[in-house]
Amino acid sequence: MSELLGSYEFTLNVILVQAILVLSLYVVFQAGLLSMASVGFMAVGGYATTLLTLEQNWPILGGVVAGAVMGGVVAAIFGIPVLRLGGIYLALGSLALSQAIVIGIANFEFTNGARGFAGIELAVTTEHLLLVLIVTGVILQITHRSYIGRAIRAIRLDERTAEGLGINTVLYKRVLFAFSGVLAGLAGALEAHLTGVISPDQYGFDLLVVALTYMIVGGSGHWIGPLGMTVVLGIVRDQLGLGGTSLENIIFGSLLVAVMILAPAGISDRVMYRDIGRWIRRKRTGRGVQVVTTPQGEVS
Amino acid sequence: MEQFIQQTINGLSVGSVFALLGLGVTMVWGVLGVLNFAHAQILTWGAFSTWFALDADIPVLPAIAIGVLVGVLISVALNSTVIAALRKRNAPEFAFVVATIGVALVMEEVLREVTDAETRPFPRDGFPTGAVTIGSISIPGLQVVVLIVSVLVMIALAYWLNRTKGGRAVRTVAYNRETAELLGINSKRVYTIAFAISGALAAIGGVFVSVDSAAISYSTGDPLLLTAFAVMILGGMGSPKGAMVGGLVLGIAQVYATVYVSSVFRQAVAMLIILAVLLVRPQGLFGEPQSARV
Repeated sequence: MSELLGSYEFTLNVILVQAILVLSLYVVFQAGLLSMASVGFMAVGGYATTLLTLEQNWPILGGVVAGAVMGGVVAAIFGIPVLRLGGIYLALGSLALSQAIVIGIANFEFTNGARGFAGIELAVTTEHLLLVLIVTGVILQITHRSYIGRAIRAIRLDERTAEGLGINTVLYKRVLFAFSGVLAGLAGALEAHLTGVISPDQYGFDLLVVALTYMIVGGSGHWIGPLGMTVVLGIVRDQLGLGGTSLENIIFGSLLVAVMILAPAGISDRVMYRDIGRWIRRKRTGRGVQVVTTPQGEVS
Repeated sequence: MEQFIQQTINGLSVGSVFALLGLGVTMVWGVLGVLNFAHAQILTWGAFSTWFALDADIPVLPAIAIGVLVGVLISVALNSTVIAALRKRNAPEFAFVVATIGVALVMEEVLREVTDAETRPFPRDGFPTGAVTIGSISIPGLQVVVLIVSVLVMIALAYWLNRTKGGRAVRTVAYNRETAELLGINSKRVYTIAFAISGALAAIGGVFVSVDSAAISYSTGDPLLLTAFAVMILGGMGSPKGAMVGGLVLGIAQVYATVYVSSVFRQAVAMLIILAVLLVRPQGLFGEPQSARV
């Protein structure tokens, strides 16, 4: 595949790693929980594989798996207290957790402080990343269409009603949070073996904002939304050649605001298509004509 | 013992700025339930306006007034455009978080372009510089002023919120907007007032932070955002008294952490306080319990 992509391979790989991180945010978001902790779990995964492969001479595959497991374990442990919070307080609590993890990493001895590590063995190829994304996509699609997926959407719509219907909301949320940690840890571990360097400042607020943008613009309705948005926006960003400039951030910030106002549930949300369809129908029937629609006609 | 007292006073000095920040967030988050991630950028823009005014040889007090005016204008503009549009669409509460993160990003980048990403020295002329000395303990004059200002702001806000018609209107809107409208309260005006106060406090806080560190850059406000949220959470939502006490406690905690644990720990104090308070006592020190929070 590397002959085919040429110099774009690295860019694409970076985008695919971000896609895994975005899916990690999406996993909890589909249950209506805005967790900002993924970036912290990503750091855990990255450092786990770095320390194991560099200092304990573990094989790379072992390191990556350990990174994913570590991300999941940390998420499962911290999920128990943090998930007691809801709504905006969960967003804040998880942001604080993420920041605390990264500050901790920047100041511990064994993580080499703010300097981080270089010379991590490079091993990740586009095929590996695509494989991870396909497997994740299959898992998400199976759960999306099953009882589990419907239960998760029920929790998003109304947590109390979901509980009343016999859904163990606490268990669901904890499992989703742990799974989100696994994906984030995996993204961190793969990134470490993709770029070969790791330091605490790469897990800053900027990365979170980028990942949040992709996920929110993609929407909470279906996993393909955030995934597609990451790839499309990632390539657009690269082609515009604005990487790291102020203009890029200004465009990103404006995009976040615009999407939140125009489509608060993202572009993979059914309600928006219903509204657009209604708008087109109204146009077709012409101005001045009162269109009477029955509520039954709007069921999507 | 003497060192301990001196450190406590240093902590109170740091904390009084935090209290001002917390009071600003209290108005829009604690009272109206809008979590404004652009608060730190309003702070920076306000402080930078003061810097530009001082640079143009405008005396200190009018310069601060210009900064405050800019803070108020930005805050009110944010409310009447983005926040109003979201409110009109009944957007979920996380939509406010994400949209204001977007606004913060734009504001920060614009300021970075305008100032060429430079850190500029903030002139201290005209601000109180001396120190008040009691025995062997010295208190910098600036900190005394900051402490007095934040206490006055706290008293004024607490009085306004609890004892005046306007303040009661704000609390009614916070409690239930529709009921408030039925009672004849203009909820749009209430939002404008709350955001104006918040913007003014952000700008004052920004000026004090910049004078204290004698420097200002486009990213001055960044680390203060989570600090302000920590103050708010610690003190309790919508309680000016809580924001005051929360700010002072956080300031003292940071100074103690620096002196007695390690300077490394200082950065983490705000995060740990957010986590610990949310988990142990979600209503904060002076807040009223709300079932919706947990």
